[in-house]
Amino acid sequence: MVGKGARIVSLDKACVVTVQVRRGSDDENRLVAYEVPVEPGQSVLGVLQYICDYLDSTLAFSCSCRIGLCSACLVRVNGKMVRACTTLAEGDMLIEPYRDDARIKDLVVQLPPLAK
Amino acid sequence: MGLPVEEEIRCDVLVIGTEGTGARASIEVAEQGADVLAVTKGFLARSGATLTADGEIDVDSRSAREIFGVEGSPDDSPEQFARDMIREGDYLANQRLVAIHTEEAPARVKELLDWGAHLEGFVHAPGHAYPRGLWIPGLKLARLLARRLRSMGISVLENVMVVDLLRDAEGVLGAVALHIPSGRLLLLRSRAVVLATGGAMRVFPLTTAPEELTGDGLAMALRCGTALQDMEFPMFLPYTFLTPPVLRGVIFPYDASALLEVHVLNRHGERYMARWDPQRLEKTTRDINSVAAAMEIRAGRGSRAGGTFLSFEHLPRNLLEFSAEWFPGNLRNWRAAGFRLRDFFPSLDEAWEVAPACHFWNGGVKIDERCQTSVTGLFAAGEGTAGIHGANRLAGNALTMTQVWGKRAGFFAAAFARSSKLREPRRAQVEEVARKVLRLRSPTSGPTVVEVRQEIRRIAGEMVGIVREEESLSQALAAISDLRDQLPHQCVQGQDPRFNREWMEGLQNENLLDVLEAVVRASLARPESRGALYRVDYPFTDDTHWLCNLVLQRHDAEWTIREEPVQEVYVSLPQSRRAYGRKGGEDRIPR
Repeated sequence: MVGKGARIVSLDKACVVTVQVRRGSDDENRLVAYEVPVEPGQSVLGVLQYICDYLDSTLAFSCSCRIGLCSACLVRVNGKMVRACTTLAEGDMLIEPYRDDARIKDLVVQLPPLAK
Repeated sequence: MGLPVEEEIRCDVLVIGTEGTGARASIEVAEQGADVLAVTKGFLARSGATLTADGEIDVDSRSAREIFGVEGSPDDSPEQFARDMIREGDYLANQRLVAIHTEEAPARVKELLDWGAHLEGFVHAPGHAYPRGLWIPGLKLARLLARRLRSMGISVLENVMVVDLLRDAEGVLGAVALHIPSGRLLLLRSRAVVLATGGAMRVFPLTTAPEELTGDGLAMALRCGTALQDMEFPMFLPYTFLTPPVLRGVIFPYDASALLEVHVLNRHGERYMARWDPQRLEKTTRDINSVAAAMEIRAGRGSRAGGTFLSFEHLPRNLLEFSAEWFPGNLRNWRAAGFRLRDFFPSLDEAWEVAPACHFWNGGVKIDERCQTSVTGLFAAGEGTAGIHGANRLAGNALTMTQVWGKRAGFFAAAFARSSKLREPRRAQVEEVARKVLRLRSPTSGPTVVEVRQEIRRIAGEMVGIVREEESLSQALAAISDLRDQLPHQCVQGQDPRFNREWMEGLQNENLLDVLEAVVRASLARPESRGALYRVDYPFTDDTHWLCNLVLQRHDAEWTIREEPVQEVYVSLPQSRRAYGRKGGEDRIPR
């Protein structure tokens, strides 16, 4: 592995990570922690999907293409704005909506109209 | 009115779907002077399949040369393009629709360039006699169309999921929709409706399709009595990544197979495509590649993760320094959508583990030349309509379909709307649709919406799959019937009406199940193998009996399937029993 690829081997076997998700909407705001099993090469979106499917199906997040094109899954992971679908889950993390205004619920944000 | 809806919106034409097809339809409706409302389940230009298209939009090679100045062949023509579509669709396409498709394609692409699109390449994909793929990345196309929608002032509602169409004896008169951010129900009233909702690829466990492609349009058409056709032919892309998990379903390996010379191997290192198409090997069409891969895996000759191996080992290592140039535009330098493949595969020494993923819906709503469905006032276009691609789609022809047929649907829906009136929906029908949403709000002891979705995918993956046979299809039908009894009792954990993903899933589950049942019934009703359908128990193509389209309808719980012979209009039809995949012309070694 070379370059950025090194990220994938930083987590070379399945383990459990602690994922804190900032939930709520305008009128409420809370951090909820989940323990999520993660396998090597799994995306942050895969983690969110796991939470929804097996731990807490009330979590709201949005995604569409899952391949890094549409940007519907923009979130902040440990403070950094990323696409959840192309970002590898590398350890414990804090996942927040990518912006605080125009928040619909949990990680879902009203996306601004596309620039020209 | 006392209806269980919280808001009513009226328009001349309701377009469901806002991407390639829906955007093009909406633009046309507006240009015809009619009032259009376009709704999308996701976000405009940030959802749907169009933006995921790598980039080819097909026109015949001669037009490409004359209109767009690329190195196309003067020997090609719209007629030759149509012949290729009909042959590679294994003769089930509607020849009249195909002729319109290839005839109108150049003008539609010209329009895109006039609106600001840029050509980034020109490619020759397998199945085409000549290079025809003008390269305009889907993401750029989707954004271009979205900007045009906005600049024309067309009303677009995002995050609106249409739950069901409303109709009376005359035809369709609107729809009930869920406004996802608020959880409110909307009554959408219109003189005409255009379905531009795409396919149902997400019914299968491995798919290249975005989140929204859950067959909503197909299922709601079916539920209001509309005829569907060719539902036995969901299309699979033969080579998508299986590992690592983050790359599952990414289609770059297929692009490599189409644009380069690759070798696809089973676990014994055998280049097994030689047994399926000795002349074209991996360059045969995608239906045959997918079926061959599925049969290798089924025979226990696949990879540990359940795929086959795509190898570059035959390429001399000193060619690799040029590999960054091997792909056009957005794929250059080993970029696959939002991924840099070199992060994952720094060398090409090891084969990639790849598997077929559901990629496109060849069949769907039955339409005529004017995109009119079997229900008055209901028009449909783009992916999820039948007749253009027959049993298999050629590469690059999906984007062409969005533009040619989107515009036609918009034109004819606007014309229809001019001569029809807004009609009042029946209260009982609105209540019935609303009840589906309300039921999800009531506590039950049934399976969760997630469990139901997982079970639907399990049935699709294990009992339906890419290669099929009567025994497992019959088991699938029984499993679907059991699951259908559970649907009204699906349970959800959260009742917050705002952006409630569980409610969406609950509604989508019904759509997925309706579509899956149509796939199973149509597959059972065709005892032969053709295009994207391979029946292990009938591994031959039988033109003498099965050159027909299967047309499905459901009234209450009763399904009817009608065989409609294919009309020979421009291209003569074969009349033989032939080995699967032998589409005429080339000789084939019998297996």
